[in-house]
Order: sequence, then C-alpha cells, then structure tokens
Amino acid sequence: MKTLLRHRETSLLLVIAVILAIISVRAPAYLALNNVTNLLSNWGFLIILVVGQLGVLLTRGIDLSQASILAFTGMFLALLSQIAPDLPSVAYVVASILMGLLLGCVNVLLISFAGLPPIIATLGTMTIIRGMIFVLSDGAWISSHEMAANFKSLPAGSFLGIPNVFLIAAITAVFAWVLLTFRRAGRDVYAFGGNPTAARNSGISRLKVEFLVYALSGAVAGLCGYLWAGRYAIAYSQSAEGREFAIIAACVIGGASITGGRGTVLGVVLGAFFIAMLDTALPFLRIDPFYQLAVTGAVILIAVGVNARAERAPGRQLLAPEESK
Amino acid sequence: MLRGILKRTVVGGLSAGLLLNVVAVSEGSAEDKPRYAMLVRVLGNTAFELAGIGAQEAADELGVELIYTGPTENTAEGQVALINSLIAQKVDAIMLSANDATALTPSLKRAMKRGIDVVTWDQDAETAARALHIASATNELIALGPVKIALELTDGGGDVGIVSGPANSTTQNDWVNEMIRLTTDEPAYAGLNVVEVVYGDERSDKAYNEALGLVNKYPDLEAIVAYTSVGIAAASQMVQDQGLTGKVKVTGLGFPNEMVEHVLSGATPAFAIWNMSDVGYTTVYATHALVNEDITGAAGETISAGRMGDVAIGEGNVAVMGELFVYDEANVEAAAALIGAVGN
Repeated sequence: MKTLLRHRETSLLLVIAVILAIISVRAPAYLALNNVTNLLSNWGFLIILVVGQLGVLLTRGIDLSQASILAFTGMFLALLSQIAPDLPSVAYVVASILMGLLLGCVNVLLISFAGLPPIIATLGTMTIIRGMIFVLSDGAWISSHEMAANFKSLPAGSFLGIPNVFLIAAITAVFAWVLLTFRRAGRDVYAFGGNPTAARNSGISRLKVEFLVYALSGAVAGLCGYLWAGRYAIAYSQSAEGREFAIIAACVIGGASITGGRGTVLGVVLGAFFIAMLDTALPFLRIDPFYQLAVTGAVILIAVGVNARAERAPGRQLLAPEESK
Repeated sequence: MLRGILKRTVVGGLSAGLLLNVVAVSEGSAEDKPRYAMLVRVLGNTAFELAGIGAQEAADELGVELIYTGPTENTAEGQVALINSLIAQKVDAIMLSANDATALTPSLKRAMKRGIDVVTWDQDAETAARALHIASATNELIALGPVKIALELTDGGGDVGIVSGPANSTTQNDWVNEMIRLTTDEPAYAGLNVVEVVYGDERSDKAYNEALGLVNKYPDLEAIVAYTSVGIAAASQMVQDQGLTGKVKVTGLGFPNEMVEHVLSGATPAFAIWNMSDVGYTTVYATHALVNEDITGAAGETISAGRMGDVAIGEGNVAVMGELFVYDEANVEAAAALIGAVGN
C-alpha cells in the first residue's frame, strides 16, 4: 500500500512537471519571480483548504461549505478589525480559527446529530452562511482603507521572500500530516472511512471522527478566510465563491477518494499545486476565456485519469470479500 | 459593471425580509403630499442608496413624499410583488430601476392604467411599460470615461491592458468593445494601444492573477483599465503589492468608498463612475414634471431638473445624464465619507 501511494504521487509529480514545462516554453514570463511568489500564495490558500477537505473525504463525507465559511470569517474579521483596530495579527489568526471551528460544528450538528447526508447538510450551510455574510455586512464591501494595518500585515507579508500565506499553509499541512498519520485520532479517521461498520465494531466513535474532520475543515476554512481577506484587502459577500469545486478537484487529483478511506496529505498538497498552477498559468497562455473553463476541466480529467491508472488496486469490492486485503 | 455590484448583493435575501419591506411601505403616512415610490433593484447596494439620497434631496426641494423600497433579492418576482403593493397603496408615481426588461411589463402596465406615472432609471424596462427613462450614461459614455483618464495617466498614450468581468457579460463586453473601437478608430485616443483583454470573473483572486499576468507579459504596460469594481480593486492591490505604483496606473469603474486607499496610494490615481445621486435627483424632478403634466416624456421635451439644469429627452423617451463623474485624490475621501454615512 505504501509503495502504491508513493507511486501515485510520483505520477502526479510527472504530470505537473510536463505541464510546467509546456507552460514555461509557451510563456517564459510565467517563471518571473513575482509570479512564482503569487503562485506560492495561491497554492498556500488551497493547501490550507484541501487538508481540511481531505479529512472529510476520508470519512466518505464532503464539505461544500468551506468557501462560504472562508468568506463569512473574512467578513467577520474585517468588521472586527474596524471595531478593535489595535488587535495584534495573531489575535486575528486565533479568532478566525475559532470562528471557522464554530461554523464547522454546525455541520457536525447537522450530520452527526440530525443524521443528514454530508452533501445535503453542507450544501445547506454553504447557502445559509453565504446569506449570513449579506446580513452581517448589509451587502457592503469592506475595503482596504477600512481594515486595520495589523489585519493586513500578516497575510500580505512575506518572510525571506516566501509569502506568509504559504508558510502558514506549510505549518497547517505538517500539522494535518502528523495528525492523520501518527495520531490515534487520525488513524481512526482512515479506519472509519475504509469501513465504517468494522470501525464502529472495533470501538471507534462515529461522532468523534465526524466532529474532528468537520470541525477541522471549518477551522482551516476560517483561517483561510482571514488570510484571504487580508491578502486581497477586500471582504465582500462573493469572496471565493465557487472555490469549493476547485478544492474538491485538488483533493481528487491528489488521490483522495470520494468514497472514503484513501488519500494522503502529500497527495492533496500536490493536487492543490496542480490547481494553483492552472489558475496562475491561464492568464499567460492567451486561451479564449470561453475555452478556459473547458481546458481547466479537461486537464483535471486527464490528471485524474493518468493518476487513477497508476493505481488499479484490487480489493474494496463489496461482493468479493475474499479479494479484499 | 453594475452587474458585478448586483452580483455581490444578491445573496442574502429571505422572503421574510421581503415581507417586512411590504409592511414597512404600507405604513407610509396618508398625507396630501404627492407620494412617489422609488423602487430599486435590490436593497443594501451602495449605488442605489446613493440614488436614494439624491432622490430624497429632490423630494425635499419639491415638497413631495418619497417612498424608498426594493426587494432584498435581486429578482423580478420581488419587484413585481412590490409594484403590486405600491399600486394598492395608490402612489402617484413609481420610479424604478428594472430588474428585468420584460418580466415587469404586465404589472407596470397595470400601474399606468391606474393613473400611476412610471419612470425608469438606471436600468430600463420595455418602452411601452414606462413614460420616460433616465439613463445614467450610454454605453459609449461609460466606456469613454476611463479611456479619457487612461490617456491622461499615460501622458498621451502607451500600452494598456483591459480587465473585464465574466467573459459572457453583455454590458461589460459592450464597454470593452467600445474602448477598443475608440482606441483604434478615433485619432484622439489612438495613442492607447490595447494589448489584451483579460477576464476577472468578478472574483478578486482571479482578477488579481489576470492583472499580474498582464504586467508580466507586457513589460511596457503603462495602464490597466478595469470595467469592473472588483477588478479595479484587485488590479490596484496587485500594483501596490508588486511595487509598481507610478509605473503601471490603474483606472476604470469603481466606487469611492471601495477605492479610497488605492487612490491615496497612487495605484489608481483617478477613476470614474456615474453619479447615482444625480440620477436619483433628476429622476424625481422628471417624475414631478410628468405628474404635473408639464411634460409627457416625449422626445424633444426638456426636463428642468433643479441643480442639474436642463436635461433633454431623446429618442425612445430616454434622457441621458451625461459623462461619468471622475474621482481622484481631491474628492474621493469626501465622497467615501458621504457613502459611509448612508451605510449607517
């Protein structure tokens, strides 16, 4: 299994390298330093979101509300920075994680307690939370001059030329990797997603697992919401709208299975790079805007296809238990 | 661009909110003063709030009662419900920015049949369903505003990139095409060389990436013209982040309250927008003239609109306000403060 996963990630790396090569030949300006920095920060945003989504996908769930949580938290914090302009940057980080966690817990309530299917529950919260941004802000923008300096300094800043967003993303990814790979709670997530019945029989609490993944997914979305609002120096009700699909695409490209139980942090981080690379490269390739979406979709399908071929694992066939590992 | 503004305000909106509006409207006092209803496309939008301020100013001058209302969701259904409720309240006139060119026709015609004067502003309804339309500006004038600024910012010419909204947005495409026509056909603007049109989809992250792509691809780029309020802010942020202030100048369509910092930082030395409060002001004067039968709304007539002077009515019973209003460091803060006051 271990070698298989490694194989899968190597094949994705190869796809990325080929596409990068094509882009650089067609548009050498793509590799300009400022663009690489921009790529890193785009990648960073996605990393933070996909590691949260990964946990959810592992449990056979899906979290469609991440982008809405992101936008809501961004708006909430932008308003907070108006009320309390003297807060240090770190306070915003903590507040954003808490706000995201709280919203993630709403998903837990709907899924674990009310028993709604995750796709329906998070589709609902996705829309409700979007609507709440409007209520919170009265539909107005919070723009650059209305945000406190401390609010913008961390997300917009960089350390040794590397954007802070990317550094925070790296920390988040390492945290998620340790949690999912080496901690009991993380292993429970894999076990639960691989076979919920067996997991329950072996004493793994469904509530605990779902609480962990949805609360974390919300928390990282909240964190990302602060960084997003600060980085682009704008908070409005449509922030990041539609990004939920880029997040899920990144996870699937990175080898996370939407049927649960499979996926690694390294994989989805590479998947996030893939999407960030496409996002930042399209402006350089002079592709007709109407074709851009089609091109993006096609490239994603190819990436998933190539990637999936690398892993034709037997097993996991419900009707042929003797074949499963 | 208005589409963009609307897009970001349409979310929210619950039917409960709609109900509240109807109730609030029906509580309007039954004085003898003529009552004019100003129906906006959606509540909570800066542009319409500004139109409301202008309208109130005119209403105070004329001694009429103004009812300001609108749906919480940017839908034709919401406006139809409100029009019906306004008919029931027997207002003297309805002034609306139409959510849909055709869907409102039946209810507007019913209003006209009951003797209510219907005037559209900002967004027109069908010609037969209103007496008069007050247009903020024509597509040509909207395109022209930022072009003039860009010409000035580039000292008479240079490479320019255009940031638009979604590639399938009709109005934004009209503005972009008009800008391209101006810079290729009109000698006065031929100094501007449009290198590429990119589409930011009204998403700040995409617009940011696209604008950054422009400056990387075209090292001689002197200006970015953004026909979207999301795009102009994102492009300005990019210019500031990249330390290109003064080298690449951003302009386009935006709102003062959203652009203050970018104007003061120099990233966007100047930008343009139609003055919504003037539109609201003129609309009330025009409506008053209609109600008093000073005009019928026909082409060739003139509206005498208080501080705005005389506004001529043209083909199709449309009166056009004129060129866009330009904001720069001299006036942007005051305008933003005014809008801030509306918000509260």
